Amino acid sequence: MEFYGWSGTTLRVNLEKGTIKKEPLKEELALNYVGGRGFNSKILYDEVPQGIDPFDPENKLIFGTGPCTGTIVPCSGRWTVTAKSPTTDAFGDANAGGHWGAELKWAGYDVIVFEGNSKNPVYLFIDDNNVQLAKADDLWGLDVWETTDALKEKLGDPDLEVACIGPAGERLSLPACVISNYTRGAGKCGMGAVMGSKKLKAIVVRGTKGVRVAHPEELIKVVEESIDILKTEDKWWFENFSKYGTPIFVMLFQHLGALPTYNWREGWFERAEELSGELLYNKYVKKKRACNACVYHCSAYCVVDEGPYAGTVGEGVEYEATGGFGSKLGNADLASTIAAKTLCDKLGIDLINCTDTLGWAMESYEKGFLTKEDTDGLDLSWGNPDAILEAIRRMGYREGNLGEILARGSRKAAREKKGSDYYSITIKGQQMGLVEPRPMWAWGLGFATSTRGGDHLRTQPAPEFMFTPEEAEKFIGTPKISDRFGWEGKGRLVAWCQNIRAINDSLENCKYFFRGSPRLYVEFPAKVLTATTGYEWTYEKVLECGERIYNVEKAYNVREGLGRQDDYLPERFYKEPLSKGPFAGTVMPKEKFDLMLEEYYKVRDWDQKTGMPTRRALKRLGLEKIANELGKVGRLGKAE
Amino acid sequence: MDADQCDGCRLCEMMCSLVKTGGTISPVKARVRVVKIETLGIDVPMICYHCEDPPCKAVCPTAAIYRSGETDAVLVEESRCIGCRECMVACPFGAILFDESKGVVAKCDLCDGNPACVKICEQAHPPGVIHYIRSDMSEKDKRRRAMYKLQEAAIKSRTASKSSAS
Repeated sequence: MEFYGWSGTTLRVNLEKGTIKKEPLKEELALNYVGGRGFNSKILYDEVPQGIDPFDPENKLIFGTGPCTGTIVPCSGRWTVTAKSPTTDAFGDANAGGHWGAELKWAGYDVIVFEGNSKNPVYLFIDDNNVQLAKADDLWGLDVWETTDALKEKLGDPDLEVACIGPAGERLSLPACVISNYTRGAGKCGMGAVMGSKKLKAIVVRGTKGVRVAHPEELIKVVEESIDILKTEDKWWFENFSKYGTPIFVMLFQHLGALPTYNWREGWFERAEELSGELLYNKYVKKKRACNACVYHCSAYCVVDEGPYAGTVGEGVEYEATGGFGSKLGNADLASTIAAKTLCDKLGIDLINCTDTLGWAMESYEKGFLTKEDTDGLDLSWGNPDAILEAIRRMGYREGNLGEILARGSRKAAREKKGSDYYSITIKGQQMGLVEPRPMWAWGLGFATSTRGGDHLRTQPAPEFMFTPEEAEKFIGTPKISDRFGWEGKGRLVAWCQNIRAINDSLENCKYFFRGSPRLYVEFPAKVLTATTGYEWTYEKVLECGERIYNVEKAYNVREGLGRQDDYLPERFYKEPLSKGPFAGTVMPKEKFDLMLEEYYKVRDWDQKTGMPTRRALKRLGLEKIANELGKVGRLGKAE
Repeated sequence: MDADQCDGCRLCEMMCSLVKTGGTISPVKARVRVVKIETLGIDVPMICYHCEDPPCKAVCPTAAIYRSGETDAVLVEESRCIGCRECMVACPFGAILFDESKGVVAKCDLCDGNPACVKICEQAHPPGVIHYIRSDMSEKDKRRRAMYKLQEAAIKSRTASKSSAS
């Protein structure tokens, strides 16, 4: 069957046997799971059995693109990689921007499923219809930038798109990620370590076939309209986000008392201005750069001209770098955060896992849970940029005692250091993105109920600030959501946002595109899907797909044994009030959190006591098979 | 063209291929191409310059390449093109591509005076990187933009100590 938008072909690569198969896309999958994250999640649920070790050959590593990836749809150039996660031992995925996903679409593939583990290092070269596995012994050991350059050189085309792992992934260091375009990391959930366990060094793509669009004129109209909405309805955001990118959040979150500082002890950093997005822009940014089809160009090429880190170049120095290596580690040396980001990119390390793990290590060092022997003599005091850089290197190369500890990621490492568990700020084992939940309750609930563990992007409840009470009433069903310290309506808001975000991710659209207007959240996905794919999509249908995808991921976790106890924030946020900043004295009261959580389960029609999905909820979404399966293993929730 | 401002989003390539193929988005079919050196943060849109003395026109054995009276663009008359690709060899910018499906060469035709690449570029990244302006206005425009850049640098140096956005 021929598709518009979707390429219509899934590539299945068995790394153990060295076989490559092409399978046609099923219409049923396309219409119920949209693409990218949705496709990957369904395939993972269906094909990866319960209880396996994430490094077992039975785990699968799935790369997916969206129906609009590789088209003119604004900010549609993302891709998702999915597998059982070694950081959470549950559902895992990560996504990234750049141009690799678009190239994969132009080569004619929606999804690549890697099965089995190779004995020796290999890479996959996709040259349109010609797909081959090749030996990668000479690449094994090289960092991400060296690998990318070596492959372009060897295959004789500087425009090849390369996604690969670095030394961290090869050594199964859990903070490892997959990186494309030198600096675009699919960070979360240790996907780089899974790729390393499969001995898959890189996926190289050249695509010349392109993406067919069902209604070109209609698509151009929708695209132009949506860019105008973005530019007129949130002009300030369009202009400033384009200019400064995510580093602008350092000061925005500082003013909200939500800038994680000293390993989440505080939400306010006394030296935040030294890390500001404006300073980064004025001092280090040389050029703005964009992902495929992006209208913002929030990324920037940075050069450090002077000081101890002179000569450092890097791109994608995001808030997770300037804040993560900055305030979170008590470090106010902005140039060092660029150096740390670039080092992570070369080693193939996820910034969020890395900075949270270092935050845990520094606080544990301060409290005496980590000794000088553990750190091989490295002084892990707060705000020591050279120690941060050295620790990252050891994490990537798994070098010495400290390298071994850090390579486990904060959650697993903390279990082995008695008493330090409290300082591992993780949910379901996953390190959290840089938003302080104590003064941001919807974000807190979103973090806790995310299907891939502590993650702000699964929910990103920006409508909490963005929607007027009328818009909130209309789309979310309650006007109460804009009270940051009110619990009512937050469950409804979070569930709605998660369904919408599942669609953003399955379209492989950047979430920042939608921020500008409710019209973009609500009208845009159905319109671009209709124009691109030729099928009729409505807001209701799109939202239902989002809910379906979320339930499949939830079911995966429930089948793995996760339950309500895993839907909580780290204890620190309930117990320790913030002591500085505009919201000093604030905690997330646990009894209020429980009220939000129960409202959330109720909106989802999941069991309010156990958090497990009910047959009724699954059946409504056409997931009766999953309901039967969960029922068989006693993991189905009871309907009220 | 404000090449140093290009962020490499490739919307121009994708829009061009969509318009020219009537339904397929594929940069290799686009008549404008963004060339990148990612490790240096360089992105430059490469396109036909519609040269005053076009080498492509000079080498064409069938006189398929001609200059349009209306837009002054260098164009290809497909029915006369024999697909010998001499023009591709002659073009110093690599701005001509071969359309495998038709067996003829293809190049930027300025979309009859309303270039799709310019429209999307100006819209997505105001003020845009690729512009379409009258040739007798181009130097004037360039001077004005260069002046603005110089002025901007002066303003920036004067206000370097004040760093605040909105």
